Amino acid sequence: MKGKILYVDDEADNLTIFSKMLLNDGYHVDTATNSKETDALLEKGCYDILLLDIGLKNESGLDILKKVKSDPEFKLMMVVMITGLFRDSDQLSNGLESGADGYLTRPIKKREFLARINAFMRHRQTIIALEKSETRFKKIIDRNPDAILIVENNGHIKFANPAAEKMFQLSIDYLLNQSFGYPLISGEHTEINIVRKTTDKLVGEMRTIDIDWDDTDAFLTSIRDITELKKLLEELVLAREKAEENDKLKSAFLANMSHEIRTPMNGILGFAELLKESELSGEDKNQYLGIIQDAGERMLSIINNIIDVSKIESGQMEVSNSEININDILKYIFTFFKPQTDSKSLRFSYETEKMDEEITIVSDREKIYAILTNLIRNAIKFCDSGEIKFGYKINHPFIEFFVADTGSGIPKNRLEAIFERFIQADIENIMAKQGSGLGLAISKAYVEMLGGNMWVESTVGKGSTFNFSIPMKPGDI
Amino acid sequence: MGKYVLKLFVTGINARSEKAIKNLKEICNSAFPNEYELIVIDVLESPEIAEEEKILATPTLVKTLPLPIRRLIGDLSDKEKVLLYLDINKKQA
Repeated sequence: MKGKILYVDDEADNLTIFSKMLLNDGYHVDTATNSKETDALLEKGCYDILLLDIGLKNESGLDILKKVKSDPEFKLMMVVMITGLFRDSDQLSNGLESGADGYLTRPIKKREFLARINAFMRHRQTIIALEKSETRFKKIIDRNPDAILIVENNGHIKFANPAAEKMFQLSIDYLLNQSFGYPLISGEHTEINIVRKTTDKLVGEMRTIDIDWDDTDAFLTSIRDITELKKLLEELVLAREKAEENDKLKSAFLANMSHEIRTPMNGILGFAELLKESELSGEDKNQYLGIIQDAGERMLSIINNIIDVSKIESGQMEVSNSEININDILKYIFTFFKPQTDSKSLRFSYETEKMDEEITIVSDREKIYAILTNLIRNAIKFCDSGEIKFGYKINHPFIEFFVADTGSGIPKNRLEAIFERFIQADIENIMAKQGSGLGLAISKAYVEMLGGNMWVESTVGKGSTFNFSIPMKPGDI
Repeated sequence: MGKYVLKLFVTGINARSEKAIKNLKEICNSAFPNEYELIVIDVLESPEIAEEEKILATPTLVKTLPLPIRRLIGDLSDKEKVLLYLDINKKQA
């Protein structure tokens, strides 16, 4: 079948003759003699060509024509008027002006009639192909995730696709004729920032090429949203810097630890050697043994810290919760440290907020003990006069602990670093420096494991207060 | 002084905007030293100026004087093209 034709004519002879010609030439033909029949057939389906006798009796072929041409469903149906030899010029003009695609004049020879119908068919095919192609290309531009702009030499936007609308948060109608600016790129592409009303700032990668647009020189500019990509790159750079920093710290830590372990080790070996001397007094022996014991304990503490850090880092440190009476822990710690504070002549006290029977929390006893012990040990280490106080306050659903000293204090620029692994705040006080520098990092890691956080307030020369807050029950946050 | 009035719109101070400022200063200093006024506008700090000038992206360079007003967008690294587009003839300077 070459195509579908609806032929409307009120003369039976014409209908028969021309239908037969078309049928023989390979067309499917339906016929109608008035507008009612025409409507009924058009209701059922579309035709490639409507062959319309313009001079239908009683009713005007022109009405059918106008109706069909106003219906978008028949947009691609060609309407060809047929008129007599003594045609009414006005009627013909009206028809063409109303959208008819062409006309035929009877009488007409069979060969010319078919040739003309075939020509109309070809013309229709071309229009369809163009239409299809236009739809396809429009789809590519409309659906393209990159913003596409056509920018004239004066910087004005002549075309924008929906992605541009989304990118600039401005309608295409608004964007048209706005001044974008003459896109100037020295290499293949350049990065630009998109200015938009919302606070999220986009980074775009702009490419541009010369294009001829409506016979004027212009640019085809495409902008790809690379915000996420840039963010990712920045994160990668930061991660690499952090990793390098960690690596350096670890090396420094290793060197430092070797030193920390070697010093007491030298002490142990040196005094062990001295103990071999036979003429030592009992007093000297006891003193040397005391030094060896202290040095051994210091080494053990350093080694324990190293083991804890590696456990925390490898995720092997576990939390084991039980019911604990906080006042009991505080009392025990007080008793434990009292001799040390006495020997430095420091005032030492603790504060409880609740009665002994009321202060039971659910948490990890060993970790709380370790954190408090560490903070108090540090306080004693850095405090040469004045006092050390510790205790807690209830701040539902949290319990907030504090350890306050009147020691040397921590410079502002070191406040964050002291919680980092392997770093000590004070580098001037040589005696105080002894230690792994891991205590605060371990304490902070413990507090975080217990679902809380740790912070410090400090004034140089006046002292420091270390605080940490943990939930009173594991689920209460 | 002030023969050329140039406004450069940037978004924050970052590598991108600093590069644009540096490029532009180099261009100005070599083509018409001491004869220009350069105003750098950060759209994050002065969004109202950006809105008034209907800036769509940065870096955007606007030459307000001498007329005609010219606007260009990009990294300003191609000196010749920038001068050409700004309609600035070196010999005038």
